[in-house]
Amino acid sequence: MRNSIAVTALLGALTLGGCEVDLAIPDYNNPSLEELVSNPTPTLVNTAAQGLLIGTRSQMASRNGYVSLLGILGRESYNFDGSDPRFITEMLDGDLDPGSPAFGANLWNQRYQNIRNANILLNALDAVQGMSAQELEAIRGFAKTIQALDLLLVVNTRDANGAVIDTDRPVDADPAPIVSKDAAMDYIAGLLDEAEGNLAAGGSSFSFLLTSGFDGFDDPASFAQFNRALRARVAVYQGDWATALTALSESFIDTGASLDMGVYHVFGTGAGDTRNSLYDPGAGPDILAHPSIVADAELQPGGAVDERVGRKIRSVAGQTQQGVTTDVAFTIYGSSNTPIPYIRNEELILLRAEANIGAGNIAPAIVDINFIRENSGGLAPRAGLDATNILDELLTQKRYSLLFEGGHRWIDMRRYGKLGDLPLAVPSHQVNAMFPIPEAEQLARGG
Amino acid sequence: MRRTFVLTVLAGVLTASTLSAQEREIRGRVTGAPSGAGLADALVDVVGAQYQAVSDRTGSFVIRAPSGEVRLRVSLLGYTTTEVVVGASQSDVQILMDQDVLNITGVVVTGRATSVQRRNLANAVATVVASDMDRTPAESVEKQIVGRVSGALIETNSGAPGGGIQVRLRGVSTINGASEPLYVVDGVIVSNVGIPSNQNAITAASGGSNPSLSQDAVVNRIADLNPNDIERIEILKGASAAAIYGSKAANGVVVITTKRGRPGETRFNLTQRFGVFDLSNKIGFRAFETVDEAVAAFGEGARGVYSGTGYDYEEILAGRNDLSTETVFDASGGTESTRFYASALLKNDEGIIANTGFEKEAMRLNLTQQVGEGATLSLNSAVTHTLAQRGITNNDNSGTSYYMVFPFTPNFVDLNPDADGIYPANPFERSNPLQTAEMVTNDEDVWRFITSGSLDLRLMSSATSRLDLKATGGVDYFQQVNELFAPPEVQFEPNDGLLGTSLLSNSSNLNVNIGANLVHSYTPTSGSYSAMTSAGVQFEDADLNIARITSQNLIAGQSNVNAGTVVGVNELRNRVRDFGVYAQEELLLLEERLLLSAGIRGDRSSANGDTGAYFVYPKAAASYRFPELSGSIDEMKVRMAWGQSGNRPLFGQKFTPLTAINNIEGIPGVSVGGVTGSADLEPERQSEIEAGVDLTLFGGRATLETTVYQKNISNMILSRTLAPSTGFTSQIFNGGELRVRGLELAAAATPVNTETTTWISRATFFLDRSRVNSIPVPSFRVGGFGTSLGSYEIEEGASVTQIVTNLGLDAGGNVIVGAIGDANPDFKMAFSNEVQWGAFSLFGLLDWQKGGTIVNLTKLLYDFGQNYADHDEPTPDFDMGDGTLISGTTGEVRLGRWLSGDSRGYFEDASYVKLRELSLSYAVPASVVESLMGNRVESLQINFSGRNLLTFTDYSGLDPEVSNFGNQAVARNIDVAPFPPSRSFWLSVNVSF
Repeated sequence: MRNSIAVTALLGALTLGGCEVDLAIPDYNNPSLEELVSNPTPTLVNTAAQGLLIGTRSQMASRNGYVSLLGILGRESYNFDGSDPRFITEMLDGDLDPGSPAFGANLWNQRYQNIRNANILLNALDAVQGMSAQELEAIRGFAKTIQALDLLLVVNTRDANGAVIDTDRPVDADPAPIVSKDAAMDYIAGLLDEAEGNLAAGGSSFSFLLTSGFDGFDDPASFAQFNRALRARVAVYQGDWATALTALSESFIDTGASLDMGVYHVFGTGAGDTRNSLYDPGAGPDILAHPSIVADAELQPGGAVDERVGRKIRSVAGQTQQGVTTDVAFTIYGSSNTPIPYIRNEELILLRAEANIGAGNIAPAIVDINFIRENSGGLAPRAGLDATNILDELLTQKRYSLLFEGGHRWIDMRRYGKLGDLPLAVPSHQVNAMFPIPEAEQLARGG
Repeated sequence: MRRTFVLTVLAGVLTASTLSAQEREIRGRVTGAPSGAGLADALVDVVGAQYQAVSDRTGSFVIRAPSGEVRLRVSLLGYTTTEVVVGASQSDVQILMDQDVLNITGVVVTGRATSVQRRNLANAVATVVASDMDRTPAESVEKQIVGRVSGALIETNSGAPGGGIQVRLRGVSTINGASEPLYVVDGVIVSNVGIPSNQNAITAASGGSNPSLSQDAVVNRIADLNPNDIERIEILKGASAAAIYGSKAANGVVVITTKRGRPGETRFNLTQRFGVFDLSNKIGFRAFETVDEAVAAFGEGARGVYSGTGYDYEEILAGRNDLSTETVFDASGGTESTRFYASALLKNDEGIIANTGFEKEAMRLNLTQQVGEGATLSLNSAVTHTLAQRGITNNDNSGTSYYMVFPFTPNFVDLNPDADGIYPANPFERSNPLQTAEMVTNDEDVWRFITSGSLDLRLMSSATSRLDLKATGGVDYFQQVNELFAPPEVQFEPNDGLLGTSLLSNSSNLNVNIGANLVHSYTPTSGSYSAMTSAGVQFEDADLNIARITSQNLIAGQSNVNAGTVVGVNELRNRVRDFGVYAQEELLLLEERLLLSAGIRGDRSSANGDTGAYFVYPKAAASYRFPELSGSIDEMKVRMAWGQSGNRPLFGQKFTPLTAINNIEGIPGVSVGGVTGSADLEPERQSEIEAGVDLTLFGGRATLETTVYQKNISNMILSRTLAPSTGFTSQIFNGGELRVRGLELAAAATPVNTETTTWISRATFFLDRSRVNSIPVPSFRVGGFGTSLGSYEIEEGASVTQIVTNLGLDAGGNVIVGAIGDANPDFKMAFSNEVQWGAFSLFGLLDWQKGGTIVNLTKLLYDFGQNYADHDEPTPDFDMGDGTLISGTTGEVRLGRWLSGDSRGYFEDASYVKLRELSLSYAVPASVVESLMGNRVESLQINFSGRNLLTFTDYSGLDPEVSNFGNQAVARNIDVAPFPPSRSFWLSVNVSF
């Protein structure tokens, strides 16, 4: 009996001992958000700022990313991935489905995720110790610029369906309202202008690292030129021609410089980096070009096709899928590391032409358009441009100059109500004008 | 200190074993019918007192007993528990035990350290014993219990060799929590984790609309057990039976006991099996009659390729019938104080596709050592190696998975290798499946070591009470290495611009268990009741670490990951620690007719938000036996049990992480992920009530067990879909309630039982229905690829496994989205019959599933490719609902409907009847054996058997048992290019000596 008491006591001791055992196990896989919110250090803040570049790059160069899907809608490209025929059935033939994460509901989550990143960072800037006022202002200017860009990409895809702009709210709060496209564009414009003010007070350097895609735009002053370039694009989309021309003059627009000068998303094959998945070099690639790009191209004076087609397009064996046929593919992205522009000089020159056309200044617009024809396409200057035909000419030049680098064709044609002019491979096909608000976003609002 | 303590206790035990004045000794011998041979290891106890003894190798025993007339009870697995009365002056007794062919009596392991006589059991606990599992070989133990357990839905995920089988006990118990039963082997919780192979790096399956790595044809690791080592399996199906396992028991508990030696001459058993696997179903290809037809479907490219020949590529790919072998050897025996069981297994299953198959090599040693009269030490240890080669199957986004390529490959193109063995490129897709099978390897190598030790110590024993300590400790360690290699020459390799892919994943898992239990048994001198009190503590630590290397651009064709120029690494570590205490009381009253039991368990876990808080799970149960009710009813038992168990959160669900694994040009950055956790996360709680009536009929010739149950799972771990504009897509939280109700029947009978002929017939039947009673969020989707491809919708008032999709158009031309079916079957039923006639024994098991819905996306792929076998058959026009007509051939209309918003053409009924097992054995007569092999050999058996020999189903896919996403809490039954199914045939020779 004594023994059993002893054993019972031992068991009791084990139990009590067990109560003392600390079971806490940390997250072995990831740092915690809590640290950045409540106890930010300069290192963590700078890492979070760098994270914005990763966030804003996400879903740009994937096979069902921004460039690819908008390219398909704007009849610049195809994706003949046999495993997922929705690249044709949903993108070209049917309606975009708000319940299909890879298509109709795509190009939303990643943008808002990065907008949240920027909000978390901006809040952390109020709490961090050990950074100078200038450093803080510089990060604010940077973060707001990237945030504005992410939101612009949302509006580009959703257009008249609207967007959410009141994003710095608690996660469990009622969902913010979906506002109109105009309200969202005004908000983006305001955010870029705020950012410009922050950058102006941001001293002479950033405290965090920028990628090689920002070469030449890697201090607050030059980064502000990138900010102005984006502001010009926004103003043109708003039809605010005067603001666009002002912003362009403060941007890095330069007809004396390379047309490729600009700011880029960069990619890499290193561990943890992201590849440019639009690189599709095989003999039978999935990522293909629309045959109309070659068919519609003008010829150079010597009879050769537009230099831009020569630079960007290659011939491949003919492929047919679901009645859609093509025999051309892209050479724009020549490796897994090829960058994709945020915005570059060539677009700025075309934006200036577009703003001048809008403002009724046809003469300077002709100069810019012919500059692009000659310098980018190797084409002869076009004679006889006037108010009646210059817009079409501008859209043609934008089509070839900005081919397959960010959905410009689809967005531009939509802005001028010309989606009906895009070529349909199969008569029953249609041009989807905008992505729907994703189902999850609708469900969160009760329907 | 501890040693001193143990010695003190031992000394106490040893000195306690002298007879007192009120005691006497009874000697006896236990023999078994029909041979009359002595039975070792039978447990003899005195009814109404706490004396126990165990028979020795000759069947003899000596037991202490109170003076006066006593009743002795003898129990032994496989024999009917027998009671005899021993008169006051009688000191010698002979006890003959009958074989318990229907497994009516005996004890059932129900607690951490306790068991209950089956006749008193308050829950429907299923027991499967070795003799019912060894007829037809299986790669993993789950296949050996298919059709034997009412309430267990056991489904394979594909035909791939090596496992990947889901066991679901009593329906769905969770939506986002752990969905696997808890496996306990010899008292140690073993891991059943499934680790993806990372084949995703080749298939890019997660690059599409569902990012889950579970599409990697995952093997759940219970496949590492050697089924031949198992003595018995007890299945605690719900919370009322499993409450004592606390917050890990919500999906039920599978308690596995391995074989152990019995005293006596060492017995050897050798079984050699030879077999083949054979492709058992095909989808077929569209036949192209003319070149124009081919061109219309596949473009101008088909003109030069069209041959008029139709190759059967499914047969060419998966038509192998290579010889498979299995060698099972065991030896067991020992003395009264030292027993051993040792076994070895060599298994090699050759897959039906090149470079696929499954190997298992296993060794086990179980030792039991008696230390004095009251202490037993056991050590069970097993080492297993498995190698599963599973090919490239399931969903992809890269044109690499065999059945993802066939839909887009017309059967007239010649993909066969030339004389030099060079495979032509497939002009219609990115890979040639024949080449992929021949050149790409996907190997999963696992070394596993499971060892457990236990000490059973009788601390005290008297006429009225007994106190036992049972301490167990165990370690389960395995290392899984996944190596996938696609050499640069494979057709699909240049697609991403990086020639060659080599993947290396190293995963290790360590489970450590420590526990101690005290069991006190008490019977008053009046014998009017007996009470068993038990209490214990358990500590468990499970630590899983997965490290992956993805290496591409292997210019030199070397598989070493160093050889690649593009290398990615990834590490994932999951670790959970649990601590629990329990206490339980079981009372047997009214001549052991009434059982009352109650228990309580408290659990803490590192996975909970509050790691210091105890979550408490009570239980209570009662059963009453009515003996000899009427002429044909020997005994009726009514029983009822109530209990709670939990399902603790998964590792990481409580955290809101920053993602730090990405960089840009080497510049690190952190960002928020898509999921936000919940710092106060709690376990799910399941309350179950079950009630049943069990009948023993016709003098033990038949039994019928009827059970109804209801489970309510509350405080579920749910994922709230957030408005993605918050930057987060979902949030983990507790809430909602799920209800599952079900009915289970198990019947057994021996219509014939004579000297020469025995016919045992069994049937199981079960059904369950679930209902989402409440969810504090709007309906949400889990699993699948999106609405048009079938998605599970969790909706208040609906079944948890309902599938929704596009159902056509309303009059206004809008797509109607709604429920199309339910993955859960209407019911399952199984029949098994075993007829023993002289030296012959015939066994068959039929498994019938009625209902259930599958979404056949493989068929949709074939329709995309205009390549399904019935493509050209005529069919009437189809009205979409708004007057729009879809016309064309069968394949065109089916796809046309899908494109226009009617996906119903791809949802099919999953009903099937499968002949799971068929086995014919012949025991070679002793005289022949002796003349052939001498008198050393005790028995020789020859056996022909087969598994999954026949399948009757209307399902048009490869196999109605399918899950592209592997084991799933909810979202099974999604068919995307699975590994094709096979049947197997075996010839076995068994020698005992």
